[in-house]
Amino acid sequence: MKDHRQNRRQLMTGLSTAGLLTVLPFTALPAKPNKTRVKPTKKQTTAVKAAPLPGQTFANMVFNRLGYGVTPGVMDEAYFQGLAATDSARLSQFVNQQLAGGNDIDVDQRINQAGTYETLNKTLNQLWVDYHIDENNQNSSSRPIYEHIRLKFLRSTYSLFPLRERIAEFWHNHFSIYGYDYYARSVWSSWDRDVIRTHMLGNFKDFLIATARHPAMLYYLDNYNNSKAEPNENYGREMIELHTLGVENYYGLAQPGDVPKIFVNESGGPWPSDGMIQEFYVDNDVYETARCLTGWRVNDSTSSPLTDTGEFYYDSGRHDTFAKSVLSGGFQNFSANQGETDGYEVMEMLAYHPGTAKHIAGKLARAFISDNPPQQVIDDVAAVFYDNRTAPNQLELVFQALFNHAAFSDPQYWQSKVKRPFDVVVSAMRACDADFTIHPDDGDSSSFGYRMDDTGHFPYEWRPPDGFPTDSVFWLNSTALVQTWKTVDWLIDHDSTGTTPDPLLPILPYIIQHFQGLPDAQLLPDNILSYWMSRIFDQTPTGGWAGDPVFESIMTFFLSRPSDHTYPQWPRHNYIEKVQLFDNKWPYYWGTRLRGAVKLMIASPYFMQR
Amino acid sequence: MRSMNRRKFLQSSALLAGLSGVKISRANSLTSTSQPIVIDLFMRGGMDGLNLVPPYSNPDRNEYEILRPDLQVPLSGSNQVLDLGEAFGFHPAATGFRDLYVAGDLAIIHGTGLPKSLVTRSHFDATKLTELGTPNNTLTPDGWLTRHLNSSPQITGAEVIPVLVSSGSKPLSLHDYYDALTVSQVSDYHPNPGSYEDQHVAAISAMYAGTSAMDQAVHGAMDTLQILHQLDLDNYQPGGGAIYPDNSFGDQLQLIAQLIKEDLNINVATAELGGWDTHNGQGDGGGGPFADRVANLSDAVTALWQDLNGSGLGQQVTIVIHSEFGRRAKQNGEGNSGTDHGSGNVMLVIGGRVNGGQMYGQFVGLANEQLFEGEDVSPEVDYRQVLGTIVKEVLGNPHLDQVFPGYSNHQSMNFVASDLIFKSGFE
Repeated sequence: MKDHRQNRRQLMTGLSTAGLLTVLPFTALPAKPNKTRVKPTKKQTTAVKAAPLPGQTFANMVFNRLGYGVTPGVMDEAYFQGLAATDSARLSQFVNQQLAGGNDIDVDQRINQAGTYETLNKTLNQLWVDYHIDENNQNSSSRPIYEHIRLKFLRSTYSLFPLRERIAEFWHNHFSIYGYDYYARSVWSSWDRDVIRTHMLGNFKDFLIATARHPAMLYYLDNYNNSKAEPNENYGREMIELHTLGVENYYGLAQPGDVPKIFVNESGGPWPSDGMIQEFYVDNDVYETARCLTGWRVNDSTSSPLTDTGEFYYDSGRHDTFAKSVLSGGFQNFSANQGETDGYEVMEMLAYHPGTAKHIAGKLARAFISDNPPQQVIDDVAAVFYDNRTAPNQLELVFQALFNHAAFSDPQYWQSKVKRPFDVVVSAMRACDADFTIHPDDGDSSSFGYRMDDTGHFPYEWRPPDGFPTDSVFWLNSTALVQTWKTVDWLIDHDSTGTTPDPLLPILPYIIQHFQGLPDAQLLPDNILSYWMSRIFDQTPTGGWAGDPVFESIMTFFLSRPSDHTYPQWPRHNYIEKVQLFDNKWPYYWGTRLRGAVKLMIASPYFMQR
Repeated sequence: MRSMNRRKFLQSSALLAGLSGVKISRANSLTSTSQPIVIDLFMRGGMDGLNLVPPYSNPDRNEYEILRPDLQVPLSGSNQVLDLGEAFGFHPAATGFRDLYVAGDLAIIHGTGLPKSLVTRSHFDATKLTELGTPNNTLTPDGWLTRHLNSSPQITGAEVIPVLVSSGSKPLSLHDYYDALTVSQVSDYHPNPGSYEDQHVAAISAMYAGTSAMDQAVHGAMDTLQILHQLDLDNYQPGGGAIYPDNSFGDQLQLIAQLIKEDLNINVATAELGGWDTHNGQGDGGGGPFADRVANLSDAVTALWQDLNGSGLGQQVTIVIHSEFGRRAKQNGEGNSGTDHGSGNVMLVIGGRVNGGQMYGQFVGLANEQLFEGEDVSPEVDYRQVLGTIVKEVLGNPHLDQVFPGYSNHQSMNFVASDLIFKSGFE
């Protein structure tokens, strides 16, 4: 059988000859044959920001970016003020408390009360046996992923540590796996708990290794089938392109020897003795990395010595034992016959490469600050990432550096990102004090799920390994917007009318409660709408909401003419009788109008941006 | 029947103009619905064109069997290559495509891809370079279809729904274009259905009255939502006896046909089908997951064509099917293995204006010295030449320098007949 590797190497050495250039119709090729990508020109898009919430407070900004928005009474202005004496001190305190985590009472109680989460604490092996092997066909192989999709909503809505949820979300997206992948779905509870949540604030190299040893990743990116006889480079490629160096560090079609070098202060193992490594990667590095990972598979069969445990298994018989060269400019920095060590060493090179620090710092800045963050914050965070690459709490330090950075607090970047569908829905539930424990085997949770699925932002359902986009522009499409608002529409209307209403979101009940002891004359449209505006946005402008453009648009809606034209448009200065509002009576159906008004508050640019 | 719909729209346009105030100043001088329509179907993951259109005769067949001992589509047996009487045939699951080819509606273009010095085997880069239409720049701020829509003299701006994206999200080819309707299902497409639905939409439009991208996107969504709301889309009867496969891709294409036939002046429609990244377990002997995918693609697209053609839209519609790259000529393992990323690939073009039943482009060969870098089917034809031919000759947009900046010396290929009626548009 032809050894295509040999042929490829021959061609790679011949790359610098002119034979590669075809008759190209354009002349944009620079003098250097490599790095043919054009330097990025200034983006000339129109600004993304629609009308921002006027007078947004620092606290509000923090909750929206580092959590899932305001939760009145729990995570609000009063709470934030109480943390310290200045905003920057409060921010620092908030971040530390959130990162530290603790007893998540409400989440735990709700999980217990639901009583239908069964996979969360099972070990990897138990999950494998129960849901993948499932000898007696008792279970659904996708039970674990099914539970975790619902759990993600539960945790994000009720956790006292929403920043930890956001960080878990970031890493799930960074090491993105399609949740319904045939194998990954049965072991998801372990992937989330043992890999993502265990390492998300720890050391990146250890994190990377944990991902590489987990069956979810080994199957999803085909490395379980990567052997010296049949090399499969899918995982090796994505490990470099997505998980570590990133495509931004791809040099182009070139030989390793052509890539500029940088000095790094590392020694031993694969590190060249003069400390000089390639600044960027080329295709050859992808290929060699795949070779390093040959034999990394899953204990997934019963043919001896395997015992079908579902755990990581290093198969020396499949490993490519010859010497290798990765990021070394072409000479062999991986000796022959190193066995499993090849994999660990290549991951160390990638994890410790300065390019990785930059790539990940860039992703973090774009996820948490703005779609176009200033280069300074990326550089500063990359420095923290790199300087602490051997620290056990490296990522904790990185997050602290990111959130305490001046760019984070700079108002020009506030509200510059569109909330993604998941954010909108969860922050709506928090802002409206929802009582909705999303859990398995529950009809309402399923109804919710169908609608949420239509938004295109259902947890763990992104198929390719690059994860859900974080760029705002992607989410500015009709489907995402309309389906998200449809989901909110369902949440607010569900079980809200009838003789025994039991709404998930207490829109009307809170109005009733607020105006209970007050005279009817207080039930003016302005007061009613202002109550909910102030609740949701956790502020009241001096002089009240009247005159605010968003408020006025919603007021227009609230006072729109009934379909029965024998009734006039309701005058704004007229109060509404309590029984009319509370019982949602014809012809004005004030209850329906109120719920519609709150839906509009959530759909407004004040709520949709973070 | 058609003009009835338009009158309905113009009446409701007055109402909508009152509500949203923007964009519904539709000129009623819109010419007849003979505007050409391109339907761009992107196959995500790197579709294996070499197995979709396998070699039938030697010397390529010989080399093919050496490179793909297990993965080859056989010449005999139940999974045999569909014989077109040519040097290449079709995968057995592509009976629909075969029929379209024989009927002269489908053309195959061999050896297409990125310019050789810019070939990349990264999905994300190759997809960007292809969809943005700039093979040397992944950071271009707009997609090729966006630039086509902005530069075409055939598009007046008075279209009701100029662009339809049938899926959850807009493809990169429409990057920076905000007038697209992205919809995967039309029923109940409203944020607050019920007694106050119109006022609700009006309120949203009022809150987003600015000029930022977000304002435009929301406004666009509200406008088209109102329009969709008025359409009667239940009980859809496809034309030409077409039967769409009962799956997501079939649904997407049916939606495209449905909306095109609603006389909304759609110029561009896009959809995509993933699952082509067959590194592993691609399917030996012409079967397996790849075969299923091919069946899905072929059946759905054939239904789409039958529907539109059977409804009299054959001369207006052009469907193009392409992928970010092909796959390596050699299979990557032994039994039950797959293929890794390649470069050169086939493109398929279907339409009433297409000189189908023929193969175009260039297939250099599968001998080692003929393969690009010793690995792939050689990309001899810049994909922009194919798309450029469609843009210029079928869509009547001569501004290829704007649609594909940096691309020059275009020579239209002859898989379409150039249209004389566009001559006047060149002044």
